[in-house]
Amino acid sequence: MRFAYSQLSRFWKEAVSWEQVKAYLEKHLEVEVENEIALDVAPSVKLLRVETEDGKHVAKDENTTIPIQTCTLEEGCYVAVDLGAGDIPTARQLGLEELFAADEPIVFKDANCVPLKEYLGLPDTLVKLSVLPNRGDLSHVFGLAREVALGLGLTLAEPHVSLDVPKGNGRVSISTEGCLVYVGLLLEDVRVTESPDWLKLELAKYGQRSINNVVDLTNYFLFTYGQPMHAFDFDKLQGQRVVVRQARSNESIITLGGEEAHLDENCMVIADEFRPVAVAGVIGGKESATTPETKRVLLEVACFAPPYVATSSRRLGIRTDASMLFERGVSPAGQTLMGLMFGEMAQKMGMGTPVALWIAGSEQSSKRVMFDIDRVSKLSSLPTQVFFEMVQKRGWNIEGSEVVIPSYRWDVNLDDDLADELVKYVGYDAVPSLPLTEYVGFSETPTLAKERRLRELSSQYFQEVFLVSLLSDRDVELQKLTEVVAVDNPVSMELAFLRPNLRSTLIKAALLNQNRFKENIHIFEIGSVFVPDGNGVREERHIGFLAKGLYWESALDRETWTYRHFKGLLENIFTSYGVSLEWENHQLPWAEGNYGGVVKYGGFVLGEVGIVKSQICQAYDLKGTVFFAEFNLAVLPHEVNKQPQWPLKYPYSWRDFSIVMPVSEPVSSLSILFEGEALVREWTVVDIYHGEKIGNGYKSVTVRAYMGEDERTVTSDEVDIAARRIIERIKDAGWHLRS
Amino acid sequence: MNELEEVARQFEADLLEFGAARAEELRIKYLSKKGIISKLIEKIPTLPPDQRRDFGKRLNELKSRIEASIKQLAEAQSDRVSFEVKLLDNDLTLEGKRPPVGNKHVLFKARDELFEIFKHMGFSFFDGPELETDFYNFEALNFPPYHPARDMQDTLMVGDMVLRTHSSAMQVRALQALGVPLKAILPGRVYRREEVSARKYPVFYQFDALVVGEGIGVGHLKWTLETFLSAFFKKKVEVRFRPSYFPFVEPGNEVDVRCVFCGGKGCNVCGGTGWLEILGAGLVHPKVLEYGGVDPKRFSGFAFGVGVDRMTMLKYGINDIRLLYEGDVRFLSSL
Repeated sequence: MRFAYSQLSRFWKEAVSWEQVKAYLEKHLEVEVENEIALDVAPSVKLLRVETEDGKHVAKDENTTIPIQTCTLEEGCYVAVDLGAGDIPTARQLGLEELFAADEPIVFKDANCVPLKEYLGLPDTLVKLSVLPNRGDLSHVFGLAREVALGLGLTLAEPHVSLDVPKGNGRVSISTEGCLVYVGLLLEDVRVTESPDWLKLELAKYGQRSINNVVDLTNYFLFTYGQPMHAFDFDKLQGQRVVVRQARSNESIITLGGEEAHLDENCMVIADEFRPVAVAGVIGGKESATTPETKRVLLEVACFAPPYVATSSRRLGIRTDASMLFERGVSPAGQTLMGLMFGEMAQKMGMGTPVALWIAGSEQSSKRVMFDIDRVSKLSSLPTQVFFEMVQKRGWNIEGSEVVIPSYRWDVNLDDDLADELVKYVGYDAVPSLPLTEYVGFSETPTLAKERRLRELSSQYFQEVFLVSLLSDRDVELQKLTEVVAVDNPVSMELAFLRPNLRSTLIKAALLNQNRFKENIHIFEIGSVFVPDGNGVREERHIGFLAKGLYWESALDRETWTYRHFKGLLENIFTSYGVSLEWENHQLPWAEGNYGGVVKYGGFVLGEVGIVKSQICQAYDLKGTVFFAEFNLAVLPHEVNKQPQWPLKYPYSWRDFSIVMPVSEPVSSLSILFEGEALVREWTVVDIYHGEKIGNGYKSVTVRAYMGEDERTVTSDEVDIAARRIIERIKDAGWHLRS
Repeated sequence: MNELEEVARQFEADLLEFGAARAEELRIKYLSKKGIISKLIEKIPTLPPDQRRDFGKRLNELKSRIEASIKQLAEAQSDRVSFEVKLLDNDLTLEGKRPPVGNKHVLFKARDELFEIFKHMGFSFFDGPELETDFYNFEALNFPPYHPARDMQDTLMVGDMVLRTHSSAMQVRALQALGVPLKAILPGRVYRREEVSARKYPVFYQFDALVVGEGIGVGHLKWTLETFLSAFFKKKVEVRFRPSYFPFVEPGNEVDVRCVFCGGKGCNVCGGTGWLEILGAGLVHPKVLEYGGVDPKRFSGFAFGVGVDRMTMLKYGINDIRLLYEGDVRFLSSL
């Protein structure tokens, strides 16, 4: 909301500065000052009357005139002249472009020859505020003034009216729960014209353009008193009566915007005898709107319930100043007063004659809120007497276990709301700090515990990244991702799909780094991935690793990543985590040829490792070999009991075996040689040889078996016996020793 | 006898004098056919028979010792030669051969610092799914379908699910899973329907702190905020509350801290206001407690949401949120 400070301060009898008010607003109310603009002009700028018939001169005094160069004005109007400079400045030149057309002189129809400063009541401040959506009662100038008056102890100038008109009912009626009060004021002898200067100026300060006197005056009440109003052309209402009701499913209306809106029972409407003439609290209908020819006006002054207006507004996708205010809550009292005030002002302006006032529903000026003083005190951490002090200062009443408060406080219904009110009343500074003393046992969700461990270990070797988990349509296509979940309402096609794996986004990160001249990277991410699962979506937490470029980065040692470099780091990570994994060669849809494999833990597939297919890299113009691995955290245990390895007391002996086997067989198959050999404590490959001596399609793998006992030194006889058994097994397996 | 001792002493002296570079000369002097040792061997038959055996034995010992010393000297010499061939390697000014090194994301460094503080304060850690039901993300947090506060959210939808818009979506889950009394941190990724810019991002990381127990009030919220913010910024911070509104808290407020960079005088970081906007907070709305299976008549609580990215950016002086979330390794590995 925007207003001039003078529009606010005129509701107080006492003079207060904007700074004082602002400090109070920010500290005690749900209001944020977004912007303020100081307004002032030099005293030498004066309003002068256009005296000549040609509209080209203004009278400076009895003898001299000043020519108007930029435009032609009507005789008798008043224009702002800078007597110091002797010219006619534009609004922008005077710094008043927020109020008047920027590049034109400032002109009034009915003014006096007074300094502009005096006429506009300057200096003044234009204020832009945002009010949080629970405080409809603060979303207008009078409401703000009322609340600040309570807080700063100022005397509030309550609105009042002298006019009275015959009241009745029957012409307006309510047949929905969504309308609390509906007041209709009938005006006759209506003249729809341009608004008077003062009204235009009022609206300009609110940041509103003038339309005509009827519309402008309803807007004046909206922004000043927070009371939305709507003017119907009474003669266009069939049956000359209106009812507030829910729409029927086949009904429609042409709105003031000129568009047809299809209605249903979720929309609350104002209808005449046959059809809807307005969407209640949201927007009027075109057919029943006032026009320059309108002779009689039915002015609607109503209170509609927030959820009903919100529902209609969302249903139709139409938001207006009125609908937003109703959603926040318009006072369910004061409609009769506002109707009469409008009538009185209309009469003064010569806009029309108020002749009748019809009322449906009933105004409620107060409401009752049950409260538990102990709870309010505990919640606010404030003593009970502060609450009673506030109740008294606010002019509220306590009746038994209820507190009676003004009905415009839609936001206060519970002890918690009263605690909120109390804390705002004293200000947060006055609330004591109270330590948390209750002991609560520690717990950690398994996923978080696993992530924490893995993050610590992985970040020893890989740089952690955090990437957007959304993919573009292009990513889906380039990576040939078939099982992806689409977002229903993406902000753009760049962010339209949920990633089905971490690979899809880590590849993009590799590309970003390549584009920034960083070719050598080794990165990891922990995050959720989303996989279509029947009719739903399965969310899994994964860890993904990507390495590319050089393993030894120093120029002297330049050496690219290899399969074993990559696996080595993964082994370090998972060994430290405390799990031993099973690695199996396996073709993968995303991995290059034979460079892929699955990793298992406890018989379950933990993840995949491989070199990303060159087609995928080429599609992104990603250079070099990209090593990638991804694991599903759900398969990992979250607590691992590590077994201590005690210091070795007796040395191990070892024997080497050079075994000739087909190239295609994985070395892991050699494990059968040592199965059941109690003496063999560990075995490892010490050499692999390919060559003519062995023959095509074969490799010679030299394995070293370490043999030992915990409580004594093994004898060479024992070792020899075990070695002979192993050699037998080599033959049994169809391999042979390299001679 | 004395002769042998004399030779031994002579050899020790020669060993030092000749050094590794002249090991061969030393060998010739002592071990060649015409060397000192040979001459001594030739001398044996000339000795009285009762001395020959002992002399021979000691001469052999001396010979072995000299041979071993010369061999050692020769080996040291050849090692030194090969060592000097690889001379490059003893230049400490040359860059080292560094194995790949990793680094935790700065976001998680800051997060874990915060977590450490909360762990010491007795908080537990709890998480939930990113793809969330409307119930946990909105309804259970007291956002009725028509509620104006829903306009404040811009939500990505997937069927009848939403990508959670705030870590508060885990509040009711935590209450249901852990019960009361509860002191928990609820961390995770959240999503907004935003394009990428310097200040806004479609995905970011935050956590909620949630405390529910008997007699919890605004004062406890205030103490907790002051304590954890002071610990994080490593100085006693001044906290300011501004009344605010979120449907799932009442009272609700925005929390600012006196700018930790300029002490409140006004600087670039705080935009000249002297205050840093840090987080939103409030007492848990009784509706939320009810949804969590907690009796609001008996229990009350507070919650606040911390944007980990915001805290990270403040702590490390980062002014573009994209740096945190796009994965630039040069940047990330520097922090």
